[in-house]
Amino acid sequence: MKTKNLLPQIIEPFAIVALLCLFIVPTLTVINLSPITKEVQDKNVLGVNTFSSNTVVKLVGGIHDIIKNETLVNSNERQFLYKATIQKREAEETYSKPILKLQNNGTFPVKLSFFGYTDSKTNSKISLKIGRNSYLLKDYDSTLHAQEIILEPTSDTNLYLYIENTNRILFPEYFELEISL
Amino acid sequence: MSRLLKRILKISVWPAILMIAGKLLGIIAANIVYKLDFFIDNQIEGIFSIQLYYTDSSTMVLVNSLSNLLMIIILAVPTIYFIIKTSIYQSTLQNPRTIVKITKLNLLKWIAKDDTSFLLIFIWCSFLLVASFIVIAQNIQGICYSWIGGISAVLAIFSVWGTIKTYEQEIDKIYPKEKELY
Repeated sequence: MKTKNLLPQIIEPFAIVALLCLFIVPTLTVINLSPITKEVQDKNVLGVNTFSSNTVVKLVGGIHDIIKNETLVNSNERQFLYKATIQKREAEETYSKPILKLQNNGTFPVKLSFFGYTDSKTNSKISLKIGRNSYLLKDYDSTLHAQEIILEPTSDTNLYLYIENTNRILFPEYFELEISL
Repeated sequence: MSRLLKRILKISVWPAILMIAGKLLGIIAANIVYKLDFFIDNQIEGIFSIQLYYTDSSTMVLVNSLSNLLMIIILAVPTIYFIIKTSIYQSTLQNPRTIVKITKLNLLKWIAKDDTSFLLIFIWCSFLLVASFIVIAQNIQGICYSWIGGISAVLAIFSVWGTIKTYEQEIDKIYPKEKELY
């Protein structure tokens, strides 16, 4: 009596699974091979990115009558120190100059903290300006204020130093601005 | 095991390999041509633990788009080739003028070899459709250039249309008189 070979029938379900795998495996591999940015891993709970490699802080430079000897030191990956000399100046005058160019090349907002001070107590009001927004650093009574700015993704902006004084200042002042990412 | 299943498995191996190879080669080529910095990291989430990273989004979009384009081209070229070959072959059977043209172009030997079947076209077209869906989905997510998504969509539509035409021609072979009814 001739026996029926059942092996092909047993293999058939496995062959169907293999066929499905031939479609599913390349699909998943291609999806997984699609690169991503590292930023996604560093996004904190507030949705503000603290990953600093995409944030660029550059000195604008140029010549100004009052704000001179500008330098920008990158002390570490997350901290910058801007230094300048504010020359002697007349009373009831305002002076402004673009000092820094801020760039966020990433896809998430970046928070920048600013803290500025001078080496002398003069009746000068020093603030930072981005567009129409003003961020007070030093008041007329020499009170210091820390400021925070959110830099939107894929954006760049110029940061202006804005100086107002009621009295005439007869000597140069040294100004320092700490920038933290 | 049925002959049909055996044949489907045999045909499916090449497009599956080429789909992965196309994507991989595209990534390697983009990194070499544009001299890009990338790094590989492990991640806990997802099916695969290895993930390719770029430090900025524009580079990631560029690499992803170019690798998608190469993958689509690698899958589309054979699919279109099979569709055109089958279509010319079927035309030679029905139209003597096509035979004359083919003979003049010295393509008779190429066209006379009927090694292209509907099944082959159908499987290659299926892989092209899967790849196109991935590209279009990534295009919607904003991680692939829109013109590459457009090319994928056009190629997918063309290959589906070609596969349907091939199916009709195969049906005409079995039921020649059915054609007159439509």
